[in-house]
Amino acid sequence: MNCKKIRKWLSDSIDKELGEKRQYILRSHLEKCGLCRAYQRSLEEIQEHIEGFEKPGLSPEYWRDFHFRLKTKLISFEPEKRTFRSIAWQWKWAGVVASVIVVIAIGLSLFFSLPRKAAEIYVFSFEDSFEKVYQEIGNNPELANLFNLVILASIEENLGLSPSEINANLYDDPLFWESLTEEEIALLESEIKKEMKS
Amino acid sequence: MIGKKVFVFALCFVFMSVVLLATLPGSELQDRERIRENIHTLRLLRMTQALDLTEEQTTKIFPVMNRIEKEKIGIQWQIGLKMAELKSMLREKTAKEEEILSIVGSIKDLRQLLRSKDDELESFMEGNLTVIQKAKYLVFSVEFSRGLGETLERARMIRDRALKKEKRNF
Amino acid sequence: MSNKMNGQMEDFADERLVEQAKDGNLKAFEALVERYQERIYHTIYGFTRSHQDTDDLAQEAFMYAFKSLKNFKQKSSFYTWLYRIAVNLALNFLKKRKKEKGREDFVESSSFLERAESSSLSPEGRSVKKELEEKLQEAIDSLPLTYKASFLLVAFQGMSHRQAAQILCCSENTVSWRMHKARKMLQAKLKLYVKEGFHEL
Repeated sequence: MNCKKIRKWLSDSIDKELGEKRQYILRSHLEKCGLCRAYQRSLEEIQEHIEGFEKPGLSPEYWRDFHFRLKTKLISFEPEKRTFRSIAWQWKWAGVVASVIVVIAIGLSLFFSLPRKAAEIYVFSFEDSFEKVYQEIGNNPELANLFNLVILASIEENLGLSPSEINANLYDDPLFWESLTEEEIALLESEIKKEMKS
Repeated sequence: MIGKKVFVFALCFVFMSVVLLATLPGSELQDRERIRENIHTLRLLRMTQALDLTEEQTTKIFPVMNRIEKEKIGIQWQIGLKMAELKSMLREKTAKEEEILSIVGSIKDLRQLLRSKDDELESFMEGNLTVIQKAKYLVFSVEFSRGLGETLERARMIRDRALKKEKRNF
Repeated sequence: MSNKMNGQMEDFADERLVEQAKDGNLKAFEALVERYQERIYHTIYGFTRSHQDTDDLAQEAFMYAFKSLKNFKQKSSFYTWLYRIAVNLALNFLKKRKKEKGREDFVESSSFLERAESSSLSPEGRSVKKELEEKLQEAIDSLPLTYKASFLLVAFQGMSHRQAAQILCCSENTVSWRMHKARKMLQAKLKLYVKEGFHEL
């Protein structure tokens, strides 16, 4: 029997793809051929090592983050491109959809046009509060800047430290630097330098 | 003890700045996002004090809050883009109903996702706070949101005072 | 995604979830993602050997599948179709990377064996097994892409020749020959280790 063919069959045998008849012929050849037996051993050992390779372990947190990122992309992909219903179905609901759009459009226009008082801020949702505050600020960069400064002053007051003092503490801690990547260190250094100059 | 808490907090504050800088589109921090970041920082700080969080709690809670905040910023960014698109469509008045509907649908889905992030945070906090802390967290959340309005009023007062001073000098 | 919905979705066969996803049901598609995300990740990782690249490509694979759902006629299983997308993306990525880095195609030369001979085979503090695994991984990484694709699906992922053929859009016979060629190359590259290392385990 041709050893070249046997070696091919050995590969199929490891993948459990060799028929019974060929397996019989293979076994008979291996009983007589030392070279093919040695080849078989090396292939089997390679396969053993492959099966022993550690798969990269991924935490549940990673998968949560993976899902979140994918979901955000999926949602951004316009619904009309993902819905594969027939045009007839779409036209069937056109009337209902049109009235919903009109109501939403009117609602949105009112929402953006009516003035807001700070006292009416909806207090149960941080997102809504933030959104309403920012609507109040509008396109006023001066007011935005002042608002930001008051927030920063509150932070300083609560910490009892100025930004430069905070940064000085961090510089001294080697563990802090070790946990950052090269990119993060470069960004952090440039930001701290900017803050210290101001 | 307090010094270490402050240190951990400051660590998160600076790291959060770096994370936001690295993750926002084009690495440009618009005013809105900078303000949001600072509000988030202040919120963490005030929350630590209001709830009297232990060091163990802060090291557990802060990374999760920062992660969720980062995710919410991403969603808000998407909502902002969609809103701008929708406003321009309404202005032009030539947009197709299907197009408008699709954007409205996307915004609704994104807002739902945003609320689910708040729910996620609530559940996480539930699992990591004592009974008293949970009650304090509720009170704190309401007070902090209300406090944002008061902060804006303070900023307006400062601006008005500055304007009056300018007029007087002029 | 609520746990209740999760529980319901888990019971649905792929075909049903695919139909719902085609109707615009995002949760149905998410259920499919959860079902196959780890396998897709590990398949792509076998090609790229980089977590970041694998993460990007896995996201791309699912997005591509989502966008192309309307073209999926369910002639093969969703699983096969998804794997095909993932493997194609991974192969394209490697081809692009190879072009950019200007690497030469794998040639059965003595250069690998020369490096193996000159390197220390039993450094202090490192197991022989670990070193062999590293050499084996290097050898697999240097296989020609077509052989590597078949090898990763069959030897690593445990697929049959038929499944791999469906994913790679070739015949079972082609997969069989590629497996044989790949093993022959690996055996040749690791001849030195086979003599000194493998038999010691």
